[in-house]
Amino acid sequence: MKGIVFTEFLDMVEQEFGYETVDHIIEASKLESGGVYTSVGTYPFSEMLQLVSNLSEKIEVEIPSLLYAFGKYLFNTFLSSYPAFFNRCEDGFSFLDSIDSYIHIEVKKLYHDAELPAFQSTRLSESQMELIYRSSRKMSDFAEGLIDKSMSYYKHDYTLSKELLNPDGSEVKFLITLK
Amino acid sequence: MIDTDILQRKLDRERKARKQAESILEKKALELYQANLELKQFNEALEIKVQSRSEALFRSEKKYREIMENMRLGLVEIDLEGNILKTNEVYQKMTGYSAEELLHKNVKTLVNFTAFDSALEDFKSLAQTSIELELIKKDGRFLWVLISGAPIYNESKKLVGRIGIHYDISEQKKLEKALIEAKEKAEQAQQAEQQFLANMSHEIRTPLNAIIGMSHLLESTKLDQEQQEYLHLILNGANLLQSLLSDILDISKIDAGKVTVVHDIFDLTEVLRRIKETFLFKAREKDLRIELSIDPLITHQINSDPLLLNQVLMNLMSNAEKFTESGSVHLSAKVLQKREEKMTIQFLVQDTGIGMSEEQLNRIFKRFQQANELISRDFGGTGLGLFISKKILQLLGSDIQVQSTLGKGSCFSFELETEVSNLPNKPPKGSQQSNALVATYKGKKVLITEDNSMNQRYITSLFKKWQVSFDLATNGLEALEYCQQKSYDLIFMDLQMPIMGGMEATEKIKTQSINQKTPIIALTASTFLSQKNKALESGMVDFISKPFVPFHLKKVLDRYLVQEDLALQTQAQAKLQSYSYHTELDVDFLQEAYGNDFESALELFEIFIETVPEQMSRLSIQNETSDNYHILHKVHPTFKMVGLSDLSDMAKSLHDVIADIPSIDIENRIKSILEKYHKDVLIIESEIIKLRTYVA
Repeated sequence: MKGIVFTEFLDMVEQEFGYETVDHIIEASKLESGGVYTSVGTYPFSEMLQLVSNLSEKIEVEIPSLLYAFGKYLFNTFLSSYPAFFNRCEDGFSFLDSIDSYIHIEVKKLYHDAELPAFQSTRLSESQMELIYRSSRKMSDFAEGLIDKSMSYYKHDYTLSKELLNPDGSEVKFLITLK
Repeated sequence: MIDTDILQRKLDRERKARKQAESILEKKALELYQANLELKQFNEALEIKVQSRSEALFRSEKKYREIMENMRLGLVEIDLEGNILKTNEVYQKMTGYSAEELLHKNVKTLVNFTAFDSALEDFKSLAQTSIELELIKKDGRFLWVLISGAPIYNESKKLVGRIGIHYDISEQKKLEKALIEAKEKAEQAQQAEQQFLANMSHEIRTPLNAIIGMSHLLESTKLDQEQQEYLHLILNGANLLQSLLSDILDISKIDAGKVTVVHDIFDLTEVLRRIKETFLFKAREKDLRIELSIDPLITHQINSDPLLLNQVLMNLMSNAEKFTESGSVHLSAKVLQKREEKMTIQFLVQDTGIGMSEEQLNRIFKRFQQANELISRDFGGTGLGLFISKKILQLLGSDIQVQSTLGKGSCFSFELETEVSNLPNKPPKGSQQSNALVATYKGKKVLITEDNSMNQRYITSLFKKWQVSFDLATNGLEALEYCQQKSYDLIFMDLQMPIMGGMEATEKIKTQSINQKTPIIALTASTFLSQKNKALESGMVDFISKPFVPFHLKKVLDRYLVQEDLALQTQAQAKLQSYSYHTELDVDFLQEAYGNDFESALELFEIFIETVPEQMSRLSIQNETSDNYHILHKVHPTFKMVGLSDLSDMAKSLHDVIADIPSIDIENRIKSILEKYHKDVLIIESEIIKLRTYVA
């Protein structure tokens, strides 16, 4: 997993709960990296799982909620680091369309080793989009946070529903409907 | 307050993270550097490649430019409006302008050709075009060029202009002009020669005709042995001169390419039979059989040139007859191949004459050459006949073949491919001995139109001898006047006459006289086929070439005066199957009225005899006019019913006017009606007997 996810995650924890909590979840985990992360590096996904699960335990918040919040948080980072990805789209649907067809392609060019989820988008109508998330990481809650923030960014009034296509969460269908 | 341990750990982590990041970045920087190096190498390699490619391109362009320059081709590149964008040195030299002067000039101002607009339109199409036109040079002179145009496209395949390749053709044009002038001169000379020959032909033929004609007349007077011999020599000499003249004229025509094939649909069997007849007459004096065989597959008329074919066959037959003292001359037409409308016919002329050796065979088709020098002495002739025949056959798409054995005879043959029409051949007319037919000229009236007094005497003496009644007109106008007053069975018409020529007279007779249907025969001194064709076009049906012998004239008289009657009779007989009415009766009407129902005809004839004589006996000049009127009213339709059409007409016309004419006229007309009736009634009586026998 790309280092930026770790550094951003730990930044968010520090911002919300102070560095003690950061130190706690690092110390409580058995981390190969020793909790040392740089945004340009690459680290095992299992470390992220440990960090999230320790945070959940510590602050007594469910993991899905944590991931959702993290998704929303990371959106801002993306927005400030890669504004070009957002400027080239005029609305939320075309931005969501562009994740698979453009953004992830560009990311792959920059980081050969990046392992990215798939976002298969289908426009059901003018006002409705189906977005299927597929990833062995099963982080659809994290994706949901990103989707929500994206739609708000383009100032849409909308509803979002979610359906597990695979019970283990590796395949999830989002239905976004404009009001 | 945060625990110092925690802070220590944070610091530691951040330091480590920084170091980690630095080492990653270091590594990345190195990768970047190496990638950059690689890129630089690629770039250099690419530049070398581009360099060598452009050099090759430049060399190739230079090569083609040099070729163009050496080929002296002027190049001009124009936009869609014709404005010049680029020119080469050759083009600049061609026009006399410099490159700068030419730039942005419109090419339309540089050509002396109003049609160039359309040529420019043509250039717009994708296909390459080439045209010949004149360039206007800077100094105002013209230069002939051949321009080939090609479209120019830009990168997006859009037509943006054209390139014109100019080739200087002024030398060719000069040559072309000189050639055309030379050709025209040659044609004029040839035409003058033709005219001279045509005039000479007429001038020579007229006195020759007199010599031949008068000799024939002289022949029928009382001559002693010596005189007859001299006369014979005169005739032979004149005949030779005549054939020499027509052969020379034919040769000059063929050489000038003036002999053209005129296709017509005609009955080949008739042509062949006529040829046979002609030679039967000639062969009478020798122990020579003239045989004709015609393939029964030739059932329909063919499409070819009857005049040319006739000339060739006459030539071959004439040779065969000339060189065969005894035995036979066999003319045959055999179908080699018949497919739908096409037919290949092989013509053979086979004789049992003197034949030829191998060496002689090689010479006979050359002009003025005969098999040997002795021939013209012994047999006469010009040696042109076979040459003419060969040339004519070439025109007809055929060639002549010959096989010959010295002392045994020769066989000339050729094959002719013709189209077959859907017209069936005419049935052969009964063969006639012309001598026996003298009597049948009786009652026929012929008009002779001839301005030459010698020819007049010649023809009129022959006609007197043959008991043909005739009128003589000395020019076309006189002929027309005769034709407006009297009706003729046949008209002879000279072509060249003062006041009104033969063709004009023919056209007028055909439209302005009572002889519109009378056959008109051209008498012509011209052997030119075109003259003959013109004569036929003007409405004449046949022609006799002057000079002619009595036999020729007689043949025409037979064909148009005698055979016509026979043909009519044959026709009537065919219709009536085996019964023929008396020819004095209106046979056409009777056939139409009764057809093959001769019983009805008989019945009507019998009724006529039972009733009409009684009525006619009451017709009298002493009667009241009204009585006669009623009698005529009753009988005139009855006359018609038994084929007495003339009598019926006489009766009816008197009936129509009887109230309005003086009694003396009535008397005369009744007299003539009764006179005719008494003759006609005898015919009716004999017809009844004939019909009774036939019906029984």
